[in-house]
Amino acid sequence: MARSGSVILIVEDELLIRMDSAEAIENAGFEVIQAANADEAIVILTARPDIHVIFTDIQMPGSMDGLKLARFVRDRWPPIKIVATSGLVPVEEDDLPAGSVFLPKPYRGAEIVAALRDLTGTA
Amino acid sequence: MSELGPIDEYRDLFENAPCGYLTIGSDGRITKVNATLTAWTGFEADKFVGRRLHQFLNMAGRIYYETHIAPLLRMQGFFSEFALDFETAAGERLPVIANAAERRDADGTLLFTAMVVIKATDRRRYERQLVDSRSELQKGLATERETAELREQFIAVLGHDLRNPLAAISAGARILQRSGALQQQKELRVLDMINSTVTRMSDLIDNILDFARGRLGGGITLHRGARPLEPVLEQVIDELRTASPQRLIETSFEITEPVNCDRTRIGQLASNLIGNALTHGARDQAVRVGARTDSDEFKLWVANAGEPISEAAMQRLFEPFFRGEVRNSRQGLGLGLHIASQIAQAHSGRIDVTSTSDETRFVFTMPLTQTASSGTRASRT
Amino acid sequence: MDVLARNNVHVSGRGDRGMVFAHGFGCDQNMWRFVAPEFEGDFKVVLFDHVGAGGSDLSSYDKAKYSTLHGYADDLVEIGSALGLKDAVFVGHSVSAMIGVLASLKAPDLFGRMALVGPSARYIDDGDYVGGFSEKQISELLDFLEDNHMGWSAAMAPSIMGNPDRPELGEELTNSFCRTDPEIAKAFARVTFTSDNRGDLAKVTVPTLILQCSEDIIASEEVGKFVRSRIPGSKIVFLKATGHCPNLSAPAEVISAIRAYV
Repeated sequence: MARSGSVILIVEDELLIRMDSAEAIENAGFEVIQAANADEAIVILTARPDIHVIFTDIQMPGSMDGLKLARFVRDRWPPIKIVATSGLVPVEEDDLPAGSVFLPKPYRGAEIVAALRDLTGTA
Repeated sequence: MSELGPIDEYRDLFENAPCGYLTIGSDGRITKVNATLTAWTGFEADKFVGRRLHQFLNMAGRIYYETHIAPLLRMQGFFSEFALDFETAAGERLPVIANAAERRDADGTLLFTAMVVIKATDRRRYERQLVDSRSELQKGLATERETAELREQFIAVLGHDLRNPLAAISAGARILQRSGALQQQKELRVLDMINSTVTRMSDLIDNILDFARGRLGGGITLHRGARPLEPVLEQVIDELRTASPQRLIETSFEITEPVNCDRTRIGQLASNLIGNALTHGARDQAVRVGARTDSDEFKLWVANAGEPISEAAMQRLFEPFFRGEVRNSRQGLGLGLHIASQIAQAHSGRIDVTSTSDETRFVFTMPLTQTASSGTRASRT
Repeated sequence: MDVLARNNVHVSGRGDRGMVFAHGFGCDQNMWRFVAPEFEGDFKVVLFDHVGAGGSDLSSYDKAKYSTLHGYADDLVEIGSALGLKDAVFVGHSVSAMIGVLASLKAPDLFGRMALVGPSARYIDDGDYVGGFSEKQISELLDFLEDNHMGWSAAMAPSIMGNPDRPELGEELTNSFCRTDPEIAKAFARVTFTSDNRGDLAKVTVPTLILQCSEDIIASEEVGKFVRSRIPGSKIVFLKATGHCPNLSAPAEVISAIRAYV
C-alpha cells in the first residue's frame, strides 16, 4: 500500500491495544512508530524530527501521563498534532493543548484513521 | 391592696423587676442601676454609678460594645437582642441578652441611654449548641462530599482497570482476524465469539458500575452531543447479531433530526432493551427495533413476540435485580432494565411497556428540546 | 465585578480634591454620617464599604485575599484608581487607619494627607509593646462574636427585612446600618486583632495626623502615641471624646480636628 508519508507516533501501555491500533493505522497508509509510555515517546521524538502526529493514551504509568506528555510535546515541538484517548472520565477542553483531538475509548479503527486523516490533511 | 403609694410602686417595679435595668448618662457613665442587676452581679449600686458600662464586661464584651453596640446606638438610637457577658464580683461570667435605647429631648440632645438586661445562661448555651451543631453538620457534609468524590474516582478507576484488559482482548482478536492466519470457518467463528463475549462482559461492567454509582448517590452523568445516533444503534445491533447469529433482528430507522443525547448511553439503553427481547422473546420470531424523530420527540422501540409479561412482573420491571420468571439459565443480574430507565430519566424521557400475547413492546421516548430545568435535571439522576 | 459596585462606593460633594473615609471594624460607611457631609462643600467626598460590610458585594469576599489587611488595602488602591484620585485626603477609623497606611505605601501618589482616627499598629501585647490585649482575650472575642451571631441576625439582618411573610419586621428593623455577614465579620475580626503593622509605619511618606480619644479601650493613648512616634513627621491631637468612635459620639470635635489639618 502506498505510504501517505505521514508518520504517527502511538503511545499506549497496553500491548495488544497498541498493536491493533498500529495495524489499523498502517493499513490506512501511515507510517507508525510505537512507544509504551511517555519516556519512550520523548526519546523517539527527540531522535526523529519527522513525526507529524502523536496518538497517546492518557492513563499511563511512568513519569508523565498523556496530558502532561501532550503539553510537553506542544511546548517543545509545536507543529506536532495531538490525538489523545482515554477510557476514563472525559477530558475537558482546556486540559488538552489547543487544536488537539480527543477520542474516547473504546474507539474503532475507522475512527482513529479518520481523525488522523483529518489532522494530516490527507483524504 | 398595695401598701405602697404610686411613686413607690413604680420604684418597686423598677428595682425588683425580673430583669436588670441600667441607665447611662450622656457622658457615658452609669447613673442608675436596679436591685436585680446588683443582685445578679454582686456589685452594689454605688459600685456602678459613675463608672462606665464596659468596666463590668469581659474583654470581648468591651470590644463588642465599643465597635458595635455604641456605634449602632448612636446611629439608630436603639440596639436590640445583643448578647453580653458581665463579670460578676465573684469573677464569674454572667451571660445576658440586652436591649438598649437612647432618650433624646426635642432638640435631639442625648439625655440618657436605657438598657434592659435579661439573664440568658440557658438560652445562650442553647444557641451555642445550635451554632456548634451547625458547624458539625457543615463539617459532616464536607466529609460526605469528599467521600462521595473518592467513591466516584474509585468507580471511574475500577471501570477503566476492568475495561482496559477487555479492550486488549478485543484488540488481540482483531489482530488475529486481520492477519489472515485463521482460515477455517470454525476458527473465524471463535474470533467472533471472543469479540461478542468481550462485549457482553463490557456491558455487564457498565451496568454494575452504573448501578453502584447510582446507589451511592452519584447518579448517571450524561455527556451530551448531537453526533449521529444511527451508527451507534447499528453497532449495538451488529454486536448482538454476532452474539446470537441464529436470531433475526429487524431494524427500521428514520432519524431525521439531530438528537441531543449521550450516544453511548442511548446505545447502552438500546442494547439492554434488545438484549432483554432476545432473552425473553420467542426464539423463532424476529425482534423488531425502530427509531425515529417526530414532533419534537425521539422514539426508540423494541418489540418481540412470545409470552406476555405477567401483571405481577409489570409492576416490578424496572426495579434493580428484578429478573422475572426464570426461563433459562442465562439471565444476567436483572440490572439492564433498571439502568435503561435511569438513562431514560437522565434524558428527561421515559420508557413505556405494553405486553400482550401478540407482542411485547418497550418504547423509549425523550424530548428533542430540553427546557432549562429539565436540562439540569437530566444531567444528574 | 465593577470596583465601585463591589465596595458600594458613594461619591458626593463639590470639591476637586478627593477625601476618602474608611470605616473600621464592626461598622460600615454609615458611621461617617455626622462627619463626612461637613466636607462636601470643599471636597469630593468618597464613602465606601469594605467587602463583607454594609452594601458591599458579599460574593466578592475571598478568604485568601482578605486573610491579611493587604487585601483590603488593595481594594482601597483600586477604588482610588477607579476614581482617578491623586493627592487625596484619607480619613481612616480604627483598623482602616492601618489599611490606609498600607494603601499609601502601595500607591504613593494616592494620598496627600492622612487622618487616622483611633489607630493601632498592633492590638496584642508583645514584650514591651502594649497593644492592650492578650492573645487569650482576642480568642475569647472571636468566640464571643460567634455567640452574637444569633444576636447579629436579629438586630442587623437585612434578610429578615423585606420578608413578604413578616411585613411588620420591615418596620421594626429600620436598621440598615452596619450590616455585615457574620462569617466575614468573624474573619475580619481575626485579621484585625491579629494584625501587626508596626514595621510599616516608618515607611510612610504622607503627612499624617492621629486623632486619639480618651479612655479608648480598643486603641489606648499609649497605642496612639506609638503610632505617632513611628510615622515620620506625624502629629497627634488628643480629643476630649471618650470611647472608640468619636466620629459618632463627638462628631464636631472630629470635624474641627480634621478641618484644621487639611
